Amino acid sequence: MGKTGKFDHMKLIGQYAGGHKKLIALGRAIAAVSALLVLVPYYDLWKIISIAVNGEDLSGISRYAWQAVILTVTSLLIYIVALLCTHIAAFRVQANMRSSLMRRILTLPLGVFDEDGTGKIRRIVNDSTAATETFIAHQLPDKTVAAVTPIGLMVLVFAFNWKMGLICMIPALIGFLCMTSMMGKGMQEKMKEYQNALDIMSSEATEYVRGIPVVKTFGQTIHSFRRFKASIDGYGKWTTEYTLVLRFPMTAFMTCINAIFAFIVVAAFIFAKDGVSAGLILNVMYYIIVTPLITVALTKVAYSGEAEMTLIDALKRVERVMELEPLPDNGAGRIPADHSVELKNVTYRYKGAARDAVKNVSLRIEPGEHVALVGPSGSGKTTLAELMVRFFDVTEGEILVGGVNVKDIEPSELMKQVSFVFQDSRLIKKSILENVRMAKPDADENEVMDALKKAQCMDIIEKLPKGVHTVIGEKGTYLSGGEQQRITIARAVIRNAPILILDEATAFADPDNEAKVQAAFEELAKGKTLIMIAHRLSTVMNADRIFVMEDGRCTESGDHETLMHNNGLYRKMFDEYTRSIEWKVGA
Amino acid sequence: MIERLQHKYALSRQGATDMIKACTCVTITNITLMMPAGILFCLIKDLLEGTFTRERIPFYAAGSVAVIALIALTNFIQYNATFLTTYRESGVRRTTLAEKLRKLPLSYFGKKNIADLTTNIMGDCAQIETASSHWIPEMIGAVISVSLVGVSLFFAFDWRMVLASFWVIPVAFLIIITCAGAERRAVRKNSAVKLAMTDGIQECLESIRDLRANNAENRYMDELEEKIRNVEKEALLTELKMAVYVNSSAIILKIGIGTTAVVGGALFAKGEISILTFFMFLMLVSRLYDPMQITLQNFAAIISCGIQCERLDEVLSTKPQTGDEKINNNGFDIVFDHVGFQYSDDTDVLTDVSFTAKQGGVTALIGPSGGGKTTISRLAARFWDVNSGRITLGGVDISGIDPETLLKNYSIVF
Repeated sequence: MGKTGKFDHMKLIGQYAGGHKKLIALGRAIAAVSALLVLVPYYDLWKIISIAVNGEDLSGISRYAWQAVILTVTSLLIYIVALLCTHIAAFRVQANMRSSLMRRILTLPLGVFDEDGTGKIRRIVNDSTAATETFIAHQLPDKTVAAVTPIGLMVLVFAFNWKMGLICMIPALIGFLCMTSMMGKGMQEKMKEYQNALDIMSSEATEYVRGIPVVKTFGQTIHSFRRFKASIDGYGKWTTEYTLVLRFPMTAFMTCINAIFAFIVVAAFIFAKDGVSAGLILNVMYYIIVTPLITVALTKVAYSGEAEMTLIDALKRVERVMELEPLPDNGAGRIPADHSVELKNVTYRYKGAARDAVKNVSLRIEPGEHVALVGPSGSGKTTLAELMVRFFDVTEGEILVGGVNVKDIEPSELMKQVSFVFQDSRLIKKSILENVRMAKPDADENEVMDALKKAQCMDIIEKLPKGVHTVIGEKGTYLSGGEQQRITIARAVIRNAPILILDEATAFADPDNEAKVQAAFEELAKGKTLIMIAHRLSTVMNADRIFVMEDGRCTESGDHETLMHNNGLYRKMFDEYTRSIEWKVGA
Repeated sequence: MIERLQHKYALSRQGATDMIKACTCVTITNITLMMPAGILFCLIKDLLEGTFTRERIPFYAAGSVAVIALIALTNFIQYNATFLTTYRESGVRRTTLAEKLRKLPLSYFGKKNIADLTTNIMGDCAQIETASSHWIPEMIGAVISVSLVGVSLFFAFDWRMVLASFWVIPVAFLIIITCAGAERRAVRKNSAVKLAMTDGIQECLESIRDLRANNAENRYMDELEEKIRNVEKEALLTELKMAVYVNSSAIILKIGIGTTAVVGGALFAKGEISILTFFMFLMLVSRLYDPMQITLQNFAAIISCGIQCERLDEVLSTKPQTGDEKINNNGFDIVFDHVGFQYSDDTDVLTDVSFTAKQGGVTALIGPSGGGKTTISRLAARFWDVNSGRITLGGVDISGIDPETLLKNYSIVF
C-alpha cells in the first residue's frame, strides 16, 4: 500500500453503512446511557453498607437492594437495545461491502486475480468483511462505554474519599500503560504478518482441496500436501510469535488490574493512623466493592484494541481490491458497423510477465469470414482472442470490431456482437435449462431445447434423471469436459451473435464426443464471422484463412494451400500431424 | 474422558490432554484471583474488631506480596497453557485434516463442494481454536472454582446467605442449556445460508469469464446480492435469538445482588449474621457476577461451536481408502468379477460387469459416451470402490491395497 497518514477506518465504515450510519451513533449514545446507569446501583450498595455499619433503620436495606436490581436490569436492557442498533448496522456494512466488492470484481479486467488464486479473493469477500462485525457491533459501543465509565467511576471513586480513590487508581494506571505498550506500531506489523500468513494458508487450502481429485490420480498427494503443510506451519509460526510477544505485557496487565486490593490495604493503613472511625470502615468497604468495576472496564478496553487492529487490517484488504482499476468505460457508446474484426499493431503483456504474450500483431478478419488461429501452445492464440472481446485492454495498438475501437463500445453491446466458447467453460450450479438460458434470459423452454439439439446435446439430456431440469453438481451429477463444452455451445447458439470465437478443447479422449462437438461447431458457425482457435489441424483445413501464431507474433497467414506452399511452421506442423494420424491407424 | 473430548472437539490426543491442563490452570488462576478477597476480608475484620494495628503490617505486607506474585505466576502459566498449546494444536488439527482429505475416496469430493471443504479446513479450525483456547477452559475453570468457593462458604459461613447469592448461577446456566436446542437450530440455519453465499461467491469468482461472455454478470450479481442480503437477515435473527438467551440469564444473575442484600439485611436485622458476614457476601457478589456473565456468554458460544465440531468430526470419521502398502500380485492381469457400481445413490453405472484384461495384451473399451468406459478405467485404478463384485490385479483384490501403492503399477493418459 505504501500509504502514509492515518487510515480513517471510521469514515470507511460510514460509507459502507449508508443510512445505517445514524444507527451506529444512536447505538453508541444508548450504550453510554446504560454505562452511566449501571453505576448508580453502587450508590445503593453504599447506602446498604452505611445502614448496616451505622445501625440505622434496617428496613431500608431491602428497598435499596431492589432499587439496585431494577437499575441494573434496566441498564442491561438498554445496553441490549444499543447492541441491537449496532448489530443491524454491522450486518448492513458487511452485506454492503460484500456486494460492492463482488460488483467491482465483475468489472475488473480478467486475469487480475489469477496470480492470487480465487481462494484469497474469496477470503477477502467473505472473511475480511465478517471481521468488521465484531468491531462495529461490539467494540464501538464498548468503546463508548469504556470512555464514559471512567468519568462515572471517578465520581463514584472520588466523591467519597478522593485520597483513597487516588490510591486505588494507581495500579489501574500502570495496567493501562502495559496495555498501550501492547498496541504499539510493532504490534500492528506483527498483526499484518499474521494476517498474511493466514491468507497464504487460506489460498493454499483452496488450491489443495481443489487439486486433490487431480493429484490423487497421479498418486502424488504427498507433494501438494507438503506445500499446504508448509503454509500451515508458516501460520503456526506467526501465531506463536504473536502470542509470545504479548505474553509478558498481558501477564503484567492482568496482575496490575488484580492488584488493586493491595492498594486498598495500604490506603487503610494510611488513614487508620488517625484512628479507626465508622466512616473509615464504611469507606474501605465501599472501595472494596466498587473497585472490581475498574478491572472489568479495563479488561473491556484491552480487548477492543485487538479488535480494532483486526478491523483496520481487514478494511485495508477490502480497499486494496476496491482500488483496482476496472476496465475504463469512456461512455462513447458506439455501435459496430459490421461484423469484421481488425487488429492494429496489438501488443499485450500480462502483469508482471517478463515478455509480451502478443507482439505487434496486425490482421483483419472480414465479415462472414471463417478463420483459424493455429500455433504451438503458449504462442498467444487464446490471449489474442480474449483481447478481441476486451477481457483486458491491449498494452499497445488497437482492436476494432465492426470498425469501432472496442474501448468505445459499451461492454454489453460488445458481448452482443461476439460469442465466445471457451475450451474449459464452467457450468453454474443450476439446471441445464437455466445454464443455457444464462445467454438469453427471456428464452422459453422450446427455444432452449432447440439450441440444445443444435449443439448435439440430446444424448446428454436423455441420460440425466430429470432431463433438462437436472441441476448440475447436485447429487453427484457432473458432466465430462466435452459434455460441458457442448452445453456451452448451446449457449452460443441461443445467443446467436454475429461474431463467433471458438476455443477448441485441447483433447478429448472420446471420439464420439469430438465428432459431436465438431458437428455442433459447424451448425453454429453458419453465416457468421468465425474465429477458431485450433489445437488440432484436422479442423482448420477448410478455413478461409489460417493465421499461424509463433511466440506471440503472427508469422504466416493464408489458406491451407498457400501455407503448405510456404513451407514454414504450418507445413511442419501439418506434416507432423499427418504422421501422427498414420501412426494411430497403424497401431 | 480424553477420547470423548477428542471426538467432541476434533482434537488430537495431545490436544485433549492439553485442554485438560488448560482447564486446570484456569481453575487455579481463578482461585488465586479470589485470594485478594480473603485479605480484604481480614482487613475489614481487623477494622471492625479494633485489631487493626501496626503489628498487623508484616502480615498484610507479606500476604499482599505473596498473593500478587501468585497472581502473576498463575496468569503466566495460564497464558502458556491456553494460548500457546492450543495454537500448536490447531496446526496439528489442520494437518491431520489435510492428511485425511488426501486419503478419502474421490467419491467424497463429488458430494462435497469446494467451498464446503475449505470452510471445513479454515473456518472451523479457527472457530474451534478460539473455543478450545479460551471459551472452554475459561468456562470449566470458572464453574469449578465457583463451585469450590460456594461449597466451602456453605460450611464456613451461613448457608442461607450462600443460597441467596449463589442460586442465580445454576439457574442462569439452566436457561442457556434449555435454549441450547433452539440455539443450535438457529446457528445451523445461519451456517446453511452463509454456505450458500460462500458457494455463490466462489462460483462467481470462477465463472467471471463465462458470465461476462454471456452478458450475465448483472443477472448473476442480482442473485448473489439476494444471498448476501439473506445472510444479513439471518445473521441478525440469529444474533437476536442468542441475545435473548444470554441476556435473560444475565438478568437472572443481576437479581442475585438483590436477593443477597435482602436476605442479608433480614438476617442481620434478626442478629443471626454479623455485619462482617453480610459484607463478605456483598463483596462476593460484586466480584463474582461480572466474570460469571462472561462465562455464560462463552457457554452459549461453545454450544454454537458444537456444529463446527460436528462437521469437522464428520470429515475425520469418514472412512478413508486404505489398505496394505505392499502388494503381492502375481502378474498384472486385471479381472473384473461381477462388478456393480453407482456414483450417487440413484443410478447404476455398471451392472454385473465381468472381463479379464490380460497382461501384455491390449484391451479396448468401446461404446457411446456415458456408457461406463471411463468409469471402468477409473475403478480399475481404485479411484472409487465398487459397490458389488470385485476387481483384482494379478489375483489380489485391489480394495485391500493402499491407493498410492496401487497406482505405482498404473500409467494413465487422460
